[in-house]
Amino acid sequence: MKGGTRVNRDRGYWQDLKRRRISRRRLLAGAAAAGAGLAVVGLTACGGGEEEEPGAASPVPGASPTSVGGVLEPVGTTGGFIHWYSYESIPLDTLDPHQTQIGPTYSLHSSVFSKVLKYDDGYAGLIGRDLAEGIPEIVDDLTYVVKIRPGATFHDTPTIRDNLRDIAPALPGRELTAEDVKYSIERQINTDSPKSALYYRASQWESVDKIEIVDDYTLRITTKRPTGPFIHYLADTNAFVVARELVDQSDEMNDIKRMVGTGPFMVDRYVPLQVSRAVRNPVWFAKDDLTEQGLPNRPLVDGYEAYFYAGDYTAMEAAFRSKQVDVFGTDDPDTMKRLGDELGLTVATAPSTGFINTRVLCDDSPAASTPFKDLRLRKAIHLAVDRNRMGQQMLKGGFYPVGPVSAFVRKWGIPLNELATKPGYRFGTQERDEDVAEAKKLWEAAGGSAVGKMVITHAGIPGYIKDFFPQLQGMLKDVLGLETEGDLDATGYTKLTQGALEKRLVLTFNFDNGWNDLDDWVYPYYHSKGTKNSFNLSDATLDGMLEAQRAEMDEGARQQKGFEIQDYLLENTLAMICWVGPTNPELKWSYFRSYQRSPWFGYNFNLANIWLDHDDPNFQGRPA
Amino acid sequence: MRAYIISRLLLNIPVVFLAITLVFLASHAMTDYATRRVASSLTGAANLEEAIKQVRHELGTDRALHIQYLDYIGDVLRGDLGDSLLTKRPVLTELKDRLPPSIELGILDLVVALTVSVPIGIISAIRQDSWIDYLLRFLAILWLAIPSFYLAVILLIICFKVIGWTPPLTVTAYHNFPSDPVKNLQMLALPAIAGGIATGASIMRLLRSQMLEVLRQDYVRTAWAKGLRERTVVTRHALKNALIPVLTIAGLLVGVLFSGNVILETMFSIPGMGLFLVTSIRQNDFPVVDGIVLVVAIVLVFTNLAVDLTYAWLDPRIRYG
Amino acid sequence: MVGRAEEVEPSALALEWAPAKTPSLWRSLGRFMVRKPLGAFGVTVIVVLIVMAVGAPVLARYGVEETFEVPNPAYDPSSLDSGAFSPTVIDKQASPTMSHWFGTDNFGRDTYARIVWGARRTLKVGLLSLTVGTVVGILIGLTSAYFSGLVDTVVQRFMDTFQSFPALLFLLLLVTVFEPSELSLTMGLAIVSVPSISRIVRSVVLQTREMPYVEAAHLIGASHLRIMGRHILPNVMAPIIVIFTIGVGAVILAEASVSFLGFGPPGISWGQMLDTGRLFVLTSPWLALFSGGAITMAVLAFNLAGDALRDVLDPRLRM
Repeated sequence: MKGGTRVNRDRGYWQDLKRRRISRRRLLAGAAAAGAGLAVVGLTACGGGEEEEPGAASPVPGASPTSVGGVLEPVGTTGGFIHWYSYESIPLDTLDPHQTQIGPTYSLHSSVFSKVLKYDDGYAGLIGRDLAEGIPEIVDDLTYVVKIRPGATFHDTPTIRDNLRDIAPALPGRELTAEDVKYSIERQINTDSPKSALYYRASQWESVDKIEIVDDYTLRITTKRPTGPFIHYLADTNAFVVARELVDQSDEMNDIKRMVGTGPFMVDRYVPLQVSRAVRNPVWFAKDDLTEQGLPNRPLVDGYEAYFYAGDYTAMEAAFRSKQVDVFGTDDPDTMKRLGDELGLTVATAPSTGFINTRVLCDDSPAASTPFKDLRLRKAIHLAVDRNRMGQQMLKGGFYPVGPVSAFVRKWGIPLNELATKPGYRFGTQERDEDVAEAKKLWEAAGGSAVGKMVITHAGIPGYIKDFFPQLQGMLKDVLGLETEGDLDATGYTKLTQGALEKRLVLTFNFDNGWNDLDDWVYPYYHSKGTKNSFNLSDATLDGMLEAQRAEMDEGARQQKGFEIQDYLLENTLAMICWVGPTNPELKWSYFRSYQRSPWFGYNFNLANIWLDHDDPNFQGRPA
Repeated sequence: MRAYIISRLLLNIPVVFLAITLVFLASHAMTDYATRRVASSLTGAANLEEAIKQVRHELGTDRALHIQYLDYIGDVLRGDLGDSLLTKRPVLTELKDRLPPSIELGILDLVVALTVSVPIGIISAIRQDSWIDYLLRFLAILWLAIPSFYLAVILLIICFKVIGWTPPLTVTAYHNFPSDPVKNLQMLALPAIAGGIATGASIMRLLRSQMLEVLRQDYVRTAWAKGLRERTVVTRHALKNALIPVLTIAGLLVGVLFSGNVILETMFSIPGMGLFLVTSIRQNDFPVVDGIVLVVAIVLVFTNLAVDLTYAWLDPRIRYG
Repeated sequence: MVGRAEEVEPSALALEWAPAKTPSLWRSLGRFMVRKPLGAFGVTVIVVLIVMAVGAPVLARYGVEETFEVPNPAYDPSSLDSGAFSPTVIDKQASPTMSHWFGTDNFGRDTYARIVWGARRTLKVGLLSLTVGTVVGILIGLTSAYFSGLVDTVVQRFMDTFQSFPALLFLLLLVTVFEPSELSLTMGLAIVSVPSISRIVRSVVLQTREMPYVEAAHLIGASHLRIMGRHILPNVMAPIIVIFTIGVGAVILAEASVSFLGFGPPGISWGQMLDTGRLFVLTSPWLALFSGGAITMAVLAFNLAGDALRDVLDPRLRM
């Protein structure tokens, strides 16, 4: 990969929207730090009805139909504040950028802090520079030479100076150096810290052997072994670079005043559960990176205001109609279409990489014994449940089937058209009948009738999981004769996380995080020593494949290995049965330009590309 | 009169303490379930045990019950209702911010309720047993049965289908009355009407029966005999006395209004105490929930006291009785 | 009910001398239906509710979670768009038709079926909570009034405070402390209904206690228990029946409110159906209209029945 900012300009890209809406019942706290890695902040709307942007060519064959990206549009007018709905102002676990697991929180962080690298396009998996001059040079598969751009200074305003007067008086305006990068990484693998258990990305950084400072702007990072995903680690959602001065004695920076970084926006106003407002950083080091593409001197707006969502659909529709917010998405695809037609706007989808799944205990653990040791029983469940109905009822029809890696992580996931040919993922009536018949056969052959009543631990949040659960029970009973009992985790994840840690949950049904890179999707879950291996799975062949993937430095070869792993998982493992994931139909006003959507949280830096077109007729009547 | 006031005040002090104690028991008898809920959503702890310990420590429920109780009483008397687990700001501050919309909605509720119920109650009474009376009484029964939130939904449908208008429904669209009266009333109109009509039913029934009582009295009959006009008889003589028991209801109404408003505020995104209560429950912010319950309880005690006193002032028989 | 105690009608006194003789049940019922048509309507609806609850498997036409699918008009086997790759879609939010009398909900389930099945929660919670509340209320009211003095004052003040406290708030507080389940909700509602029951019982007891025949029974040497059971309790029954009936209406409303806010126990409930229904009320109002209508009818029925019973059994209770 070459350095420089990469913007995806393939044909067939649609104007998609990336705002996430979370309904009041769908909020999930992050998974436990020790990494049982279950349900994370739930999200949103879904619904089909996406439409092609006029003039766009048909999708590249073999690719997923809603291939995504986002079109940058050369700027017309600047200024104004973006208004949107977000859960940024939710004060859950912590505001510390490396310790929080809450998606909306690290979205806020992605406005304020910078990283060495960043994902320019989360769907295509394109990594570009942020603080770094370019993609680091790799020496001997083990050493990375990271060069930081000079002139990246920490936010400096009178208010910030005031706020930091007793905490870090020298910070505002100080330049970010290699030392800060070193600190930010080493902090997360510091086992002496009282907060060490909370750094849930520690397993990524543990691959680091040593970090040397060459000069103020250069570091050499040496890994213990060849680590294919290392560049990704530097660009991953939480890989923020923070200043040591902002961290308190208990190794935490959990205070809105300490949210001072080098990013495109500066925190202006933060009222928990109400609003998160940030203003433009006029001296952002990357402000001229896109001048060639017609977007000089970013951010192009004066700032943004993210309202905490505390109403429901009718409230949001009203706010959108009156242009109090510029973009919004919701559940019901029919109402979205109606609204879109009425206002003359197109509904666009932005599928998220989060997905709904069932974890199955594959082998007896000290805490529980399982009847599902036989792969055939797991396969039967995988085939018996009708994903179509699931998606229609839970996600209102706006859904895609999900494999072991989401098809929307286009670099790594099995493409949708190929997934749609695999058993369990086929939707034609005849194929469905075949799959159901096969499920019954497998179940019988493996002695399924001897399986007694099973407990399925399911989340109460998102609400649609709770609502749909009786339907799931019905399907399992009707097709396989499997009697189940629900164990509701009303809190969202306590029972689930704790149970997963103890390898105690035989069956679950919940919503889970999505990831940017193959490694995060498969290694922690399926490796016998993986931190998220709640299935008590131990498969030497699979372990070998997972390790090989991690050590593979050539991306093409690594992709290949990834596909082999996914095929293997679907054929021989099925420890985590992946069901469906939401598309997110959204509407935006036509004056809202240069909008890129993203597959998950943490892409607020893209707000710097957005500009409000004052000359657009729809801009009339928009409240200031 | 003064003796009466003092005696009522004194009588209410133990009641206030009773209320505080009850809320304390309910809130500090933190069951495992409750603690787990808070622990799972509000701490960054590495595992559940640590989170539970942290929560217990933060809320102080790891101490002996009597110590907690004394602390609690002391805090409450000083006006410290604890801090919100979510925003870390004092509960009382958070409540103060949310009070105005709820008060406004309550007042509008009452206005609608009275506007609707008083005339109907009077008409129903003075035209007793006529077809109007039967019709109105039937309507009142229907009123009492219909949940205010159902009525609100129906009103929404009617508004949308007939007028083609829906009220703005975001919390951020809320403007308080001084800043933008039109927008303010737009948001509060539907919930006030729905809530007011629902509350009006019980007022109407009471008023009607009281009016009937009073109209039968001798002094009213004398007024009739004297040839006074109907309107004079009704307003000057009957209504005043009939209103007295209605005032008793007023005390109860504060409670009813508040609970009705919880639902209406949630439906219509009015950023008042009711919505705050619901969101706090959803977010497991227990100090806020307990704080609201306590505040309402205490307000009620004092409202009842005020009603008692007004009652006594209006009806001299009671003062000396 | 301030000031009511003095206004005992003389005729009622006379009745108290002899043990009450109830006329034939059918005769009373018949007279009741004729004289109080509204009350009769209420009772009929209550009977219908009971039949619905008991006979749900037969009457509901479909299962409570049964989903219906229809062919997908946008089906395109070669497409991978989420709206087009499935040959069927769920029949969601349909208007009333012959196969779905009340239409369908957002999951494609039959609304009529779910309303019939939902009657179980309504009646179970309503009747059970009030039964428990009545028993407790009678005990408290009896003992408090009978022993009077300080005990009585304290208990009464307590009951007064509790009664003026909004029931919904109390229930919501319970939901935060205890896991939402039918049991905790029922107990909460039972507690909430205790004060009004105990107050009625107490006032009746206070009146009856002054009666000469009670004094006479004392003199003869009858025990407290016997007096309470033989003389006082029967007089309490009539008002209790009335309060019970009206109370069920109030409790049903309270349960619907709690479920409407989303804090109810899992399982089907009309209140929760109304909450779901209002999310798409502007495009498909059927779910909201019918579920809210069911709640209203249930509350109305119990209120009407209670009103009529009161008129018949104990006019003194008339407000």
